[in-house]
Amino acid sequence: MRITDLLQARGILLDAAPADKAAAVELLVSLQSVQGNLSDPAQFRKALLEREAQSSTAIGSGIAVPHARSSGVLRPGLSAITVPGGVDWGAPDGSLSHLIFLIAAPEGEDGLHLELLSRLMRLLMGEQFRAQLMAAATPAAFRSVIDQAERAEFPDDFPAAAPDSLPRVLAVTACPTGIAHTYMAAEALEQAASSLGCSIQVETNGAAGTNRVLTAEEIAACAGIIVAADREVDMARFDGRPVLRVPVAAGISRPAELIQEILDGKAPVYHHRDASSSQPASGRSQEGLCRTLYKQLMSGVSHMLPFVIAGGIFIALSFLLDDPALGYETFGKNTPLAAWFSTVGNAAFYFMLPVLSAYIAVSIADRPGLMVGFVGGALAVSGYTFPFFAAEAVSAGFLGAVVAGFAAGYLMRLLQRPLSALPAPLDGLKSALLYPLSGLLVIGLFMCAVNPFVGMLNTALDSTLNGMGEGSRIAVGVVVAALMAVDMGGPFNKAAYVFATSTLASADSASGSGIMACAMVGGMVPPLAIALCCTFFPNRFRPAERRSGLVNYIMGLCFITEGAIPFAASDPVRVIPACVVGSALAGGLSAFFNCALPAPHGGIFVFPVIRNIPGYLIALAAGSLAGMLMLALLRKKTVLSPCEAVME
Amino acid sequence: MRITDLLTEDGILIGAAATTKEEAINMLVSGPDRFGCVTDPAVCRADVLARESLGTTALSHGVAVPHAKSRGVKERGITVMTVPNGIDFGAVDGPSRLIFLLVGPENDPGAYLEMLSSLLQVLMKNPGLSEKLADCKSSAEFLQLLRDAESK
Repeated sequence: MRITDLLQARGILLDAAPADKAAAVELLVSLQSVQGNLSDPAQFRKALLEREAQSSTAIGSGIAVPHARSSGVLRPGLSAITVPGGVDWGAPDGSLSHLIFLIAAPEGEDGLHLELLSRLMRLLMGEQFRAQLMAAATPAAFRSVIDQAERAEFPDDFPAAAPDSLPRVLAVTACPTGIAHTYMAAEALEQAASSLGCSIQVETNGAAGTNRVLTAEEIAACAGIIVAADREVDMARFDGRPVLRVPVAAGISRPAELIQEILDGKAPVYHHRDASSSQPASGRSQEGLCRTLYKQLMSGVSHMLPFVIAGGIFIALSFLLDDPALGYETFGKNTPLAAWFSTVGNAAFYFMLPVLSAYIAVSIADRPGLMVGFVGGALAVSGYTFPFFAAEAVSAGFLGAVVAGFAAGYLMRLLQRPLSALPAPLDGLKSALLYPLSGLLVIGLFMCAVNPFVGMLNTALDSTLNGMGEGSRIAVGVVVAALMAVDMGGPFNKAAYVFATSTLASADSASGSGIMACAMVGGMVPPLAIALCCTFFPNRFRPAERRSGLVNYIMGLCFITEGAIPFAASDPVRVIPACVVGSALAGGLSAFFNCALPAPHGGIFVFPVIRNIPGYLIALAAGSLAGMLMLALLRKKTVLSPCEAVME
Repeated sequence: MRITDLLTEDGILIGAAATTKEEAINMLVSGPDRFGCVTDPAVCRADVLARESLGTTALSHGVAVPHAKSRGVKERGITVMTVPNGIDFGAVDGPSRLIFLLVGPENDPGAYLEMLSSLLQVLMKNPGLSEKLADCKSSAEFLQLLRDAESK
């Protein structure tokens, strides 16, 4: 029941000048007739004057609202006049009336005229409203003033766009604590949209839950989505649609800009990639050569590691469980139990290098590379070569296996081209006979030719490492351990780790490799340093960080360096140097104390098989404490935002 | 939901004479005629103090917002006090002069979050509001100032 529905432009007379109240009444009644509201003007006038006789309808502030219910009224309506000169309507304070509305209601429509009256009165309370009405230049302008005021005062009467019209722009807001900025951004976006004349629907992800989740229908129909979030939001549903991803603060400070970008079609189309999906092979050309080679190498390493880890631990256990007094030469196999562990462990360990080559080759050339790589690696280990080339076989070791893997892989890829010229029916023949045969032939020749050279390199490397003076040994230990901390799971960490595990192959099985010991302690220190810092210097961390600090004790002790990654990622400039310092110290001390580790993994669980356990413990403790102190020094006291302070 | 929907003039203590945060919380919880939603002041006070001991609820600019979900509360409610010389609530930037107490019943977990949300939003959108509120001379003035800020 809107006023503007019942007041047509022709029912309005501006700047009228009736001589007296009676003349004004005549004017108003005729304005009702003109709108077709009256079936019997005389009847209506009579009812009106009766009502006026009861008490004046002048309500002060220069307003009068005469009204009547009558059988002479066909349909409800309003008429209005403005009288700049004023007319005496019998106001209580004797003032003249300048703005007069007449309400006509049919008989029987009980509350209608009263409702209209109350609505009108409410609007007329506004001084600005009255002034605007008086200043209106045309009846249309007069109506427009009322329309706007009604929209503001009674918004529920103005239904939103038709149910089947969906919002043009969508948004999702999500701040980390979810109590204030989420809603402030939502409000800002809604206000900006309304001033741009654009429809918007905002989903808020707050602490108390998610409000107004966007529907699939809305997502499909909109022009685009603004995701103003400082934390993870479900993005899969936006696949293929234009999305603007911005921080929450942008939603608060420049909402109009964001909406305009969507409306102008400038938002990029979002493609959702499942975190677990692998890189397509066709993407290779876009990446650098180094990155490709690195990935291929890592593919081999990741397949090799289980062999090394399980085999290495079993071998270490065999020494732990054995009694050297029973025979030094056969130490590790003296007792039946030890012998079992030793044999089984060695069986796994033995395949370490061939598996490495095999899977490097597979990552390059797929299945055809498997056998060729595997055998290439086996040949590298054995060091077999042409009789005329070298007198004895020297194992090409880890390096030889890597060479074999890449050689096998690229060789098979090369072969794919000529062999693809074969007619289709012979395809089966390809994988069953041609690939294996040709592959084996070439890799056999290749490895025999290459083995002596790589063998020399390997021997040189081994003897350098083993024959290092104390100073260089400590230096290598420091470097290896430091590299473990530099990128925690990234290329440097992996390179140092793989290098360390490769030294196991040529190390004295009983005691193990000193470099491996440095690497492990270097990988244990970062999470432990962080955990210690969270415990003893809690004000350097936010509450959420402190909670994950406890988990890092376990991670560090189990040699899972990755526990430190979230901290390093959020504050690399401080966290990484602190960890590197701690790890380097631990590595140096481990080398200084001549610690050695025969197993490639296991953290605290393989401590029993370490040579010089006390020294190793000192190294670990010293490194962790050093890391903790460095971190405490570098990090300042955290200042929580108001939201974080209360959301603890 | 607005703060001024839940805050009444009676619930506003101007120029309170509390000197420690325990006193302040006590005064805010236990004013019997003032805070009708508290059914068991002892339990409510214990819950608020327990939350406070987990970590300070002091914000910057002299505002503190002790709060709790409590068995001793039957419906959500807010009271506030202004302390001219401030009380040490553990804020980094000095004593707190404006202390809001927000309580909610146990079966309405979202209650105090919503109140906290509304309060933080109005404080964030109106820089300087907390100082003005702390300087108010009467509860009526306080309520009006806050109402104006919330209806903007």
